[in-house]
Amino acid sequence: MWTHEIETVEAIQGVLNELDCSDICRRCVLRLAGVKKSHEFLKVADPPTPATDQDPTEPESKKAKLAEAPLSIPPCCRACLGIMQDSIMAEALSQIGPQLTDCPFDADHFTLAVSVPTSLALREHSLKLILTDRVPGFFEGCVVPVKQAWKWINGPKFEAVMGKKFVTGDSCQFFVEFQVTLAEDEAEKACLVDMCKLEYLQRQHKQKTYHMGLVTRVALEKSLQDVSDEQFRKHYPVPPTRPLSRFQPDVKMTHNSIFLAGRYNKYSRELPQTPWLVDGERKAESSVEELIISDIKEALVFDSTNFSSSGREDVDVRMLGDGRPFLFELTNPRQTMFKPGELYEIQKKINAHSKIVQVHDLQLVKKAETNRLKEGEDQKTKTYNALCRLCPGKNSTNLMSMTDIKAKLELIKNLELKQRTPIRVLHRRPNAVRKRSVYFMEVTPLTSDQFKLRLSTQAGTYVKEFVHGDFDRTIPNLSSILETEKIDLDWPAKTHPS
Amino acid sequence: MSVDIEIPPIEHSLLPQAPDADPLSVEQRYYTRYYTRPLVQDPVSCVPPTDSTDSTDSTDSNERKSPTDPFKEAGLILVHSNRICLVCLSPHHTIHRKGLKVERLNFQVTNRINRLDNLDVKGKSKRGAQVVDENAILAWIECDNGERYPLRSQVKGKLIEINPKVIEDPQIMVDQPFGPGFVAIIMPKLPEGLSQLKERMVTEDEFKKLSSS
Repeated sequence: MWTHEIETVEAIQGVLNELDCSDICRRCVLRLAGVKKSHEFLKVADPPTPATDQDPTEPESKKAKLAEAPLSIPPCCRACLGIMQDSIMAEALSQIGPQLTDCPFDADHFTLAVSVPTSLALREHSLKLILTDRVPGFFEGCVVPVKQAWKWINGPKFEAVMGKKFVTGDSCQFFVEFQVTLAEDEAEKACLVDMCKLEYLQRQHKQKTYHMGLVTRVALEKSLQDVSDEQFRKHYPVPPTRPLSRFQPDVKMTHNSIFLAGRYNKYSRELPQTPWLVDGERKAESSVEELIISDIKEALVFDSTNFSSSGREDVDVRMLGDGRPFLFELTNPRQTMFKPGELYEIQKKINAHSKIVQVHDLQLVKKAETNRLKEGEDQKTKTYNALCRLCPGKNSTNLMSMTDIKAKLELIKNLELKQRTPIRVLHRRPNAVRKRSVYFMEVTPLTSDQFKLRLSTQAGTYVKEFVHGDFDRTIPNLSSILETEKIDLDWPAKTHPS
Repeated sequence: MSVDIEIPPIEHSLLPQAPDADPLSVEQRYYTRYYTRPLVQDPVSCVPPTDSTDSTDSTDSNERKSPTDPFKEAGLILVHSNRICLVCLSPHHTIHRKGLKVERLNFQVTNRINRLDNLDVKGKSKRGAQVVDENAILAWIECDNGERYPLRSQVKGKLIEINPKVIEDPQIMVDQPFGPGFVAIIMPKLPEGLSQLKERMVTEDEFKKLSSS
């Protein structure tokens, strides 16, 4: 350490001893002095916490003062609650040990984080006040935050328990969070309400905005910035008192989401893409999303899923051809690495399970690739098959002949349509007029009143309404060209780059 | 592609239907027809609905007071499976019975309200739309013999649109009542708008039963 650092450290230690705060661990003293080298912290192995209250040579008055806080628990540093102290952390680690060793996550690297009780900021502020007063070499801005120093010391400790490699930085996808909870946290924070009466009175009234709790971390930090020293001293002990209880340790492990992508085909005319609920009641038994996810759920463990796809088709429309690209986001997955062929096995299970949905090219994709999913949605061309049936109009008894129909329709290229919002979706779409194009059509006659129509359209075209006209809300329409009324629809989406 | 799945061509992939059933039109497949309950023929007991939303008009109240024609307010609503309602002219309406020709539709229903002013309707929930209740008049049907009849909404909700085709050619309201000749699209106020409609009006089957008895 630099000479001035050593001086500051000793000055701080001296003041703390005078104030009966010698239970503050050596590491906290170092960080209060602004020592930034992590190895200095590691050098100070297992700092002892001097049991000052047991010193028989103490004058009576001091003993009486200390007797105020009954020592029901083994002493711990009042600045860090003991998390910087090896002996106390060893205890904590043994408590959470099983969770760490039985870790279900397959990641081999981890980053560490620690969450501390909000009231710790009060303690820190209190110490800063007293040290600014008494120690000339003390600078509030140089204090190393306890979270930072804690990570320096505990990375290797967690590494040893978990058998995974500790790393720092953004590239790691797996997070281990050491959670510190203190029973008296709420009580300590309560003083803030009196300290900043005005602010918290407002908060109490505005229940809606401040529903996260009256005193949040952010609120506390802001209040500490604004509050005056005298006001602070009135409501919070300076220096801080001993903690009344030992903290409760816990650990939370999370992994960033992984993404499974693929293409699906749908062969049923009674299956929606996503679960279909009306007023809380299911209108269809299952959905494409649920059929695909059920086998994935059996094979993998994760918290939840998010399904998205490149466009969608109606319940009563089949999805043929190469299939529609889809994506599943699996949050907090326990397994993130797959052996070759593992995903293919899952795909086979899905395909064997349900004949109405088939999945292809199931694969893991990187998060950065996921925005490609929506690329095809509004720019591309879509191709449909429709089964059309002629119903003679009221006044005409003759149907157009199939040869005439074929000739007429196949001649049409790049037909521009004006489509008002179809009545069948008007309950959930705004009423608007859309310009869309039909690029070409191919007719395959079947009987004298039925033909197959294959058509290529701009993305976003309502094909059903193009065929039957929706009472002329779509013009022109096949009906107006040919008096056709009935349709059944297929969608082989061979998307062509436009 | 899976080789074990047989993908039937479109003509064999339809949902099962009675093989010889007549092909249904779009209106028949997706809409349910609701008619005004056929009134008892006794003219004295006919009490046409009072119009509570529009300002009174002397000719209107005279028409109301003459109870002899139970069919002059016969209504037809086509209710889509998604609950959107199309207001149409019933084939049992006096206009049909008398074989009248429709000259024009007058959408200035009161001094202040014109149904064609309903242009600023925004968004999924159709904010800004004119709110109507079941007695609200959507248009006065003016016939070539000088008579005029009110076309009432029949359902409580929001007026989404007046059919532009029927503005151009009001006669399609008479000639093609089931579908193309609809006059207005109403989004019913859920849940009471639709449930009240189903109480007051009857389906085609019920109508036939009640008329023959």
